[in-house]
Amino acid sequence: MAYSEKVIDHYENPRNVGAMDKDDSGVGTGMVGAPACGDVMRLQIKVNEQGIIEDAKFKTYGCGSAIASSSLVTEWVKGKTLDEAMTIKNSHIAEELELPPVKIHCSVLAEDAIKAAVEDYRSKQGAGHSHAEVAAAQVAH
Amino acid sequence: MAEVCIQCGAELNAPPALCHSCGAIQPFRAELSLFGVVGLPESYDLNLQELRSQVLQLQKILHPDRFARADATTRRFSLEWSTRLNEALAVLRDPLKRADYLLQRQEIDALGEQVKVADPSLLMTQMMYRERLEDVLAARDQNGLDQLRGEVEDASSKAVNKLHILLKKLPCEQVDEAGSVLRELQFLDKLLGEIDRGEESLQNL
Repeated sequence: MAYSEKVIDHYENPRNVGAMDKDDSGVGTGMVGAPACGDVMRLQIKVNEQGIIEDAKFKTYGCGSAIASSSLVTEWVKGKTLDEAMTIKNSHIAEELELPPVKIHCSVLAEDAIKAAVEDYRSKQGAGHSHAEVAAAQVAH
Repeated sequence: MAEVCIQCGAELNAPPALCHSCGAIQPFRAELSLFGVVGLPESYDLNLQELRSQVLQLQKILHPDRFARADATTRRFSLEWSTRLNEALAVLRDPLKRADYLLQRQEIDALGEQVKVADPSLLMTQMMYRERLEDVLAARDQNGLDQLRGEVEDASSKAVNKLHILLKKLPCEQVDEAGSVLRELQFLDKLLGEIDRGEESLQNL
């Protein structure tokens, strides 16, 4: 099976590899894994006071398609609102990367990871003061 | 109703591929489980030596090479039994595949391609192992690699022990729990494969 040029490009030059502080209230972390291939994916977003995703990082251990899918998603979500990020579908990822049918599950993993990251961020905000409130309070002091 | 030999009519005992009275090869029975083909009771707790010797003994008699001059039907039976016996040995001797097979017998697909894991502590541990592997390989740290392998092997045996408990009574009643332990074992198994590949790359450079 041959990888598409886009997959190879993301695989060889992955965008936004790295980690953010998962305890930061402005950071949402999504982790998912696929036991069938042993893939583990972590996707993190940094959300600003306006609710815009201003940065995204990922770390994926898995095949080229899984790495490319998560790399692409970090590029796509930057500058998006949380609601916009939630509309990303695995079919968009698979189409953009020209994934063959046997690799579609890698794009599903990336979709799950971004959703999990948004949910993690929202649950953190719901649990305490919203990020915007905390930021406003800090500015006030 | 007991199955009888197609040649002499004697009642067939397990394993049912061969008649115990006249030795005739019997029609292949696709409905038999992998345990049934080998003639062992369905259980997670399997004596691997017994499994291996049983399969080898049957293969000696059933192997298609021995039936090269037999009629087409007999040749087909031999090929079918022999193929299924190979499959039985490959699946049943592996603690991961054996557990997966037993759950599949209960129509539970714990390791399918569509199955995803979201358990944060499991994923966190796997991520941490992978990061350590990356670090020790970058540092060409053989001791670090050996230590990591030891920890992953320990974690694997712990998972297998848990499966022994969960699958002691069949059909398994705690299928969710067994499925999640199985998925953990699958991750560890893949990781050990990566550790092997890493070890090779350290030695080849």
